[in-house]
Amino acid sequence: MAEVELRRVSKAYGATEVVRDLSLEIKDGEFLTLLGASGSGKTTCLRMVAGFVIPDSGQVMLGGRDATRLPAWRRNTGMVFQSYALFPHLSVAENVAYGLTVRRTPKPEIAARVAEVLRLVRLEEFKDRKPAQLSGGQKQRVALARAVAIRPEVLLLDEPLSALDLKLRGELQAEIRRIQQTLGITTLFVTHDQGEALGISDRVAVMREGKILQVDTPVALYQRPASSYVANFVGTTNFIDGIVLDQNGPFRIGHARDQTQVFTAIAGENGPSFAKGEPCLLCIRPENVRLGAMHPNRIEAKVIHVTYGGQHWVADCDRADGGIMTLNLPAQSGIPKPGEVVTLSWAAEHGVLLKIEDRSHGA
Amino acid sequence: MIGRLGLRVAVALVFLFMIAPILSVMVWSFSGGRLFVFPPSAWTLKWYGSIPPAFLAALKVSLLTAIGATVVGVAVGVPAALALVRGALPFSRALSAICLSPLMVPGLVIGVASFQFMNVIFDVFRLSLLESVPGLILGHAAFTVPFVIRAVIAGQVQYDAAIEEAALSLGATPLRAFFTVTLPMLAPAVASGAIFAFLMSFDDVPVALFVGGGSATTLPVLILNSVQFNFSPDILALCSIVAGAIVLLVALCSRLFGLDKFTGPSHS
Amino acid sequence: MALKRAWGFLLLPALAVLAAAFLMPLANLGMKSLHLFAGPGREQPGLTLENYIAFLEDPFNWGLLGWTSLLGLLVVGISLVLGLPVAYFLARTKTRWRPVLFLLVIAPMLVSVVIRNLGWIPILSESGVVNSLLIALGLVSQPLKLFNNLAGVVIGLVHAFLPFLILTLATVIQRIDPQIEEASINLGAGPFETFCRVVLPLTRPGLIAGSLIVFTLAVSAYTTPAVMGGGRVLVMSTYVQQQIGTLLDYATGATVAIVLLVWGAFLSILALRFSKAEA
Repeated sequence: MAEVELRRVSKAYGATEVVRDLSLEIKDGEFLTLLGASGSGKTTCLRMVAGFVIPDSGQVMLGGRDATRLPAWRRNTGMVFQSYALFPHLSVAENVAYGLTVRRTPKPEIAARVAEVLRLVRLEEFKDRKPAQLSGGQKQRVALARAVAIRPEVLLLDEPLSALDLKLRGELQAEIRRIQQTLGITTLFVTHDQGEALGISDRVAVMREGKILQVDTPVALYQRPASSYVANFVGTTNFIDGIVLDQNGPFRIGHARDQTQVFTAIAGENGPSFAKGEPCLLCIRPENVRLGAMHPNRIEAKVIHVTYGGQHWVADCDRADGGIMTLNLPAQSGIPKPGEVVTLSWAAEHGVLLKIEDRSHGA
Repeated sequence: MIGRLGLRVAVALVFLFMIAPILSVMVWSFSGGRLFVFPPSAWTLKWYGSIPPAFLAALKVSLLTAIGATVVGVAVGVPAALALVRGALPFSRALSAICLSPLMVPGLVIGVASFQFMNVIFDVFRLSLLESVPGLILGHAAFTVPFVIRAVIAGQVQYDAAIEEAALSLGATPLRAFFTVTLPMLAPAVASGAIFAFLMSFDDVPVALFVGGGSATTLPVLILNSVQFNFSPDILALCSIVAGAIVLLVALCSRLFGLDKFTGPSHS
Repeated sequence: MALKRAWGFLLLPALAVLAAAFLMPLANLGMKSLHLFAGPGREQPGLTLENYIAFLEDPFNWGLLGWTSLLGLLVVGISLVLGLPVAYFLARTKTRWRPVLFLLVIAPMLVSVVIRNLGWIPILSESGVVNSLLIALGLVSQPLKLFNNLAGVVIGLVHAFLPFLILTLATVIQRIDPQIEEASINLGAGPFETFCRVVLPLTRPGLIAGSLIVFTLAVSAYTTPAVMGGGRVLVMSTYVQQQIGTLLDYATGATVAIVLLVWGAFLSILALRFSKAEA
């Protein structure tokens, strides 16, 4: 086990810069996820750690040693590929043993280690099957077993669940987390699925255009996003354009169209500073918006439609300023009718203030 | 429902047409009656005991030639296919086209060209390739080499580059990954290319007709001659054994390597 | 970089073998066609295009080309009629015998052509299976001549090349989403109408590529016309054999062979274009 560090790495293919001056630290035993849309550079970062991509500049540190130019086969990284990449001509046990065989591990030890990791992924009885005789989920578990069998310094997972159906994905997600915790192995996970990222990780790094926008625990990322892109990429969010009226103590924000309408809010993670009169963006999660005037921050809106979401109702409402306000209502509560004009409110600590520069909402 | 039944009947008739001549060879090889009168009036095994020695000799020539041409095909074809796909060579498209071009040339043209070229070789070097097994092998190499190259190129297209990366990430050196992962995965493609090449060489008439002859007369050429000049049923026994062996070989290979790799134009 | 160069060396043995077995012989053949005939097995010195001019001026050769093409078209037409239903069936059937059925298509293709031709003799001869059946059913009074003539050659060629067409078409039809057919049936078209209006148009590139392959193979085939025609059917390839094998006129033989080569290669490239377009 070891810590992994990317120090100011960059990589360009021709004129396209896929990773730009990026730094990232993964602590020993930590489960860190790179979350981003396709083309954000997350897989390139993972492949830098594996040794399949050599950065144009910057360093890759594995366990405190500089591994930037170390060939892939000399690094002790266990990788799980998106396509599983099982060796079709070898049995499950032979696949798992491969990394040990090339390390010239003694035969009895190989047998013991293979049995151990196959037990870990609950595939003992499949050890003599060929990959073609396995289901998608089983293949994925063999790939995982093969990667951990070599006791790697770091486990690399490249969108390992994307080829599986929803239910299996949930099961395997839990399984990966369980195995990672059992082994206490430093893990770098790459995904474009925010639900997956929040559910499995110690920390999540949100990537966009080759840069990391924010690295944080799932809770902090969700509750106090540092930018509108992160707020929008992770979960659903309501935005209101505003202008900073007072930056001392709690922020006081005037509505951009009608500054007599005033909200109170807190700054996002690592609290960016705001000047008085500066345009800003107020971000409120749907589950924090209440029907009725029970909180000091209020806005009027007209209900468009209400849909049933299982655990709660989801109501979309038209605001006077042209924006849309989405809120969640408890499943047992009464629901407003479409066309009804309602008052919506939220607490000051649920309004997160963001800089306006980053207005292009991807995701 | 009638449409479906009609389709089934039509399909069954075409299948009957497909296997008819092979069944026919096998059935008539046991016929003791007058030549080719239907239905046969008597049954016998005597033809199987009296296969003419000339035909056994020709079978030996055919087998030697096919084995030789297949060995040459695999020995030079597999490295070439690897180089064409992975080498990032300059002009790789043109090189591929050159390597595969013999497959577009009628067998007869290859036969005539080989024959005339071997005449030139004899005139220049006093090296006699005509009417010899080495000559036949060289002539057949014109299509066994491209057959193997095509199969091994196709075999590489289907596979996932991540599999080799997996081997590297598990600690195998590139050379080791090549021998423990890449080559074994190519084995089915190499095998099907080799079997196809073998059967095409064994089947060939036009090249063997021009290049072979004398002590290097192949079985198909000898059968062709005897059909044209003095047909006798004793050759049916050998033909039925050969046909049976080929069907068995193909059935076995299709079980082992899948059927799809066996398709492609032949020379006849 | 040194590694890159090493790959190039792997290609050399194949290029050497192909040069000796194919490229140089072909170049030599081309040269032969540029010399004039000077008696059996000999040519005059001096390069000339006379042979090609003579070939193009002789109506006999045009007749030969036309006749060979006609034979090719006949084989393609019959193969399409026989092959389409089988290809459709193989592409859509869910029976567990599917691998066996595929084997039944492929195995005959790989059994030596001469042996297959031989097998037709007892079936097609005057006292053979087909004529015995036809006479017993009272459909004909005199046995039909089905062997040692054009009919025999066509039957032999269809049998030889039908598998190529079936396999090409089956692959293309397999790629058509069965739900498209269900949509057509749901909209009121019968199975046959669906086949004609939906499946056939979608199969078109495969049909063209497959037909071109069969046509190319049929017009350049030597063995089947030689055996099934009993020496009575003259096509391009048997004509070349006659010129070189019997008359020892290497120059004319080489010229016709080159014409056959160019024609065959042109059709093959065309077929490749269509099968690429379809993929």
